[in-house]
Amino acid sequence: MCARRVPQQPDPKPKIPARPHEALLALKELELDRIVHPPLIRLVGAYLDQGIAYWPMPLREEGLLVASRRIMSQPHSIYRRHLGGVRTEFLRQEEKRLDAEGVVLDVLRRLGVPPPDWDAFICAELLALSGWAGMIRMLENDITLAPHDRVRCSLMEFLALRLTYTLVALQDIMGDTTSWRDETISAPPIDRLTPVARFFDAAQLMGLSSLTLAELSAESFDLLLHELAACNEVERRRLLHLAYERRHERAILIPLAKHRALPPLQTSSDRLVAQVLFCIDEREESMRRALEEVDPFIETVGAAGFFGVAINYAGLDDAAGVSLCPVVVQPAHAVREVAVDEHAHLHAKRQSLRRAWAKITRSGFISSRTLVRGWISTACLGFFSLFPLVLRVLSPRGYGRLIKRLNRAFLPEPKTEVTFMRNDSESREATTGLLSGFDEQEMADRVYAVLGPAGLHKAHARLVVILGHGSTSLNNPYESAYCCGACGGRTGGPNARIFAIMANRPGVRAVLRQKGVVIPEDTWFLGGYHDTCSDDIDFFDVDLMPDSHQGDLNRVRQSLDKARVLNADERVRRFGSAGAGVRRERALRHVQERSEHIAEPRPEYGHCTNAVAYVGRREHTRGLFMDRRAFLVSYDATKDPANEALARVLGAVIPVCGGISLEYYFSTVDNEAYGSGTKLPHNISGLVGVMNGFQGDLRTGLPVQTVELHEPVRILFVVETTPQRLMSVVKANKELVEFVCNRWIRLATMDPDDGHIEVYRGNDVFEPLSGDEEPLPVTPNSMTWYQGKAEHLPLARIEPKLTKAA
Amino acid sequence: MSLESLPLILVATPGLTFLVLSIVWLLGGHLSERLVSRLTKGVYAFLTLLAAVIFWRMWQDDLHAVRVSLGEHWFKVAHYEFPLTILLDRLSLPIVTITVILAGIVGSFSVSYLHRDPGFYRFFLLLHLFTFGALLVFMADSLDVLLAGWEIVGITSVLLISFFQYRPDPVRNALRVFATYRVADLFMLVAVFLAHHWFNTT
Repeated sequence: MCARRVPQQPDPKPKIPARPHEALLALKELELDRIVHPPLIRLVGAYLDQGIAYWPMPLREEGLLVASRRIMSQPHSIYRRHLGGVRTEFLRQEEKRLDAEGVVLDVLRRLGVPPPDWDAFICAELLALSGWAGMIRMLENDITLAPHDRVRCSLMEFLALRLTYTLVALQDIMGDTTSWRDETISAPPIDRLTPVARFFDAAQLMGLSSLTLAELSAESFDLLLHELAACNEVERRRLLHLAYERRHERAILIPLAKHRALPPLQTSSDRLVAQVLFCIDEREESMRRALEEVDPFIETVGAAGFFGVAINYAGLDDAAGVSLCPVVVQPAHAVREVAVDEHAHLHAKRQSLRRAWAKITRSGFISSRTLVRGWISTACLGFFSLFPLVLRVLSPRGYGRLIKRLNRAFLPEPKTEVTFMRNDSESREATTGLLSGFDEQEMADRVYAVLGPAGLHKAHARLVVILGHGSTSLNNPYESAYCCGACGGRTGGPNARIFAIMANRPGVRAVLRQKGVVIPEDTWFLGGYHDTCSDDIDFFDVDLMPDSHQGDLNRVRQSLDKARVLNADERVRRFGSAGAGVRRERALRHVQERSEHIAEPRPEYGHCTNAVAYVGRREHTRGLFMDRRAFLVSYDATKDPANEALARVLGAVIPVCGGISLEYYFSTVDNEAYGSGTKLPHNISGLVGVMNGFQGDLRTGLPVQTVELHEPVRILFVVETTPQRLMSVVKANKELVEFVCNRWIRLATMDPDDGHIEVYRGNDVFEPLSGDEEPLPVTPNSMTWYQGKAEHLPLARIEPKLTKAA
Repeated sequence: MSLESLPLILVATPGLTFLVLSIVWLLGGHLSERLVSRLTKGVYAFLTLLAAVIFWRMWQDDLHAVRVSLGEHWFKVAHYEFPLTILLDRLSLPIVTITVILAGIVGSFSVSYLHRDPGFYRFFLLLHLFTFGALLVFMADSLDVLLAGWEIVGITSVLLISFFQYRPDPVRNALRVFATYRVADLFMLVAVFLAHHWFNTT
């Protein structure tokens, strides 16, 4: 019946080739890209090189096109097959003094591409080598992204170069440059039975018998066909994806609402021992939970990890400053780390030692790669490199400790301070446009921006620790993907340090008092740094702290030490290579070894488990096991009637967390296209990117090793506010409108008063959450809950009292 | 144990490991990553130890070379005959030791580097074969044994170049290397024949 009534589909029409590559592939089974790409990649790679090349590309100041043209048209050059015409073509362009646009227009004309097709043609040509084209484009927009050699980049010049090579090769192969457009590419024929089979499957699913089908009127039958055609492959995937996300949404929101409805776990009304500010990062979720489990009198707070201090920062050993703030923010203030005056001589010694060592390693690097010196150094010294290699591979931690010990023995470490006070004369003279340091009012604004929404102002403990975070790993081009997203993929230690110094200034506290944030006299702020890979924790400027706080610090330090062991233990359950026997202290050693191992493609799992972002008071998530899957942002809606703090918080958090979520989402759903495939064969090219082998396209996105655990859902934001207040904030910010209204993230609100949840369904519609099918299991502690399991775990409530009763 | 049997064990261990692993593979079996890595680390620790023991015994007995004969008359045509022997002397022993240590380091590195890679098992299979070939080359006492080891090393390196076999580039490059090797090895083969023929050298 199906075969009789389902009409036959016409064969797909033959396609016109989008670019010469497709035409040649169909006509001569020749891959034009394989002819054009190698010289192109070499030229662009050499042009963008950040100082790896022994012999830098000459004429770089002239731009990519002119430099390539002059170099490649030297007499007696040797060209690859089919590219012999390059020299004449380049000489002709030079003679006519064609600029990049001129060359592109000239080639488009000679290739016979009519103006209406230009867009599609250029797009297809650029996408054929999207990594390199994208890199050029990024550097054209912001040259400061290049770490060292800042050369002028232009996508138009790249396109001109590419099209010139394409034209020359095409001319050589086809004998002319326009006939490729006459070629047609026949699409593979559709099996006649496929549509019939699909219809049959659908009919079976709907329970339509052949009798019913036969009786259907032509009109209804057409409707059915139309409906089936509309539910095509893309639509089916979309529906399945939505269903998948809905399941995740209910598994999060229902237990969250249940947890909130139960009495809060923190009952003590005494003054807290300490407060610890963490980054909102979902990797800190387990750390915060562990810390609160270890010491219930410590409160943790989450704020975006640059702690409101957007700076251009250069550490003691850094050559130039880098931005420590979200990538959407341009820092306006420069901060430098310098040695304190009495240690200036130590700094000078340190610098000269580092310079000398850098010279030795650099000349070693170069000489091992040159012909004569390389031969000599390999023959004479090669053998001795065996010993460090053996130690590094067999005992990464031992090697790391040895290097640290050697550094401590030979490299003096001067005491440092940060120059963050506004220096007006320096600011005026600065050519960078950066203000040097902050004045008191600016400092107070920054401190207020964090302490305000965090709701910390209700009760400050005697000690407030601010922990920035980052990640250390070896042999890992993706290290910055593991660092702090709110610091633009760098480490947030300096921000924490500066924030603490600012908040300790009496002048700043005076300004804050006027704003309604009263910090008690005996409260001390201390900056610190948490390495999310090795779980090491360091503190800054401990010597500045009054002795009276030493006891508080000792208690916090002990609790943090216990917490990081628990944190490592929880992380290790995800590492397949760790094995079940690695627990507790051995787990800490295991994660430390990962960060020192040169052969470890997964030093940590980064943001791999991100799925949720909770913006609200910590007391509603305290004691809730969220499996390192939730960004936790502290925000108190009851203290924010005008939604100012909400606007500030969401303005930073949605782009950062939403960006991270989408990066992982796309790298997971199509790892070869949006991600970078397996990272094992990656080579770093000129310090700008990674590519497979020695001449491939630059890879974008995250490697499969980073996303292998990721559950591809759009991040679910739960904001503790009302839908009206939320949408008023969103509508006022163009970027948030894009994220929220275009549905790049999922959004829900939790009422600050009664805790009922409403879910955003698009077009300003919020739908109250109903249903009760997801349980909220109760467990005495995190470890009992996750022990022996490696998969994503559902939410659970941690009630330590259970153990006491038992 | 007699000193003569030690070099034999040294060269045979990686070969046997390869054989066992490949038979398991061919029979459709599979060993876990953990087992393969333990086996590999064990094999190389043993080989390194063995090299040290041989060095010690040779030092003690003040020997310049240990020659192990596996068959004096294994190849005989008319009046030509070539013995099958392996030789460890004061030149080959250090090279063998470094080979064993380096291969062990490569194995140890790859255990974590290739964790969860689809080619994990295949890599270690090839690594053991490579070590076997390399040891054969360094310990060969006749050109024929050397050639056998050389070919094993050659084919293994071709297979290792094309390790990421689902991408076209590595496979293409491996094929190119293979072709180059064939051409080069042909001359080596001719040289060996001529050496046999003209100088009656083994």
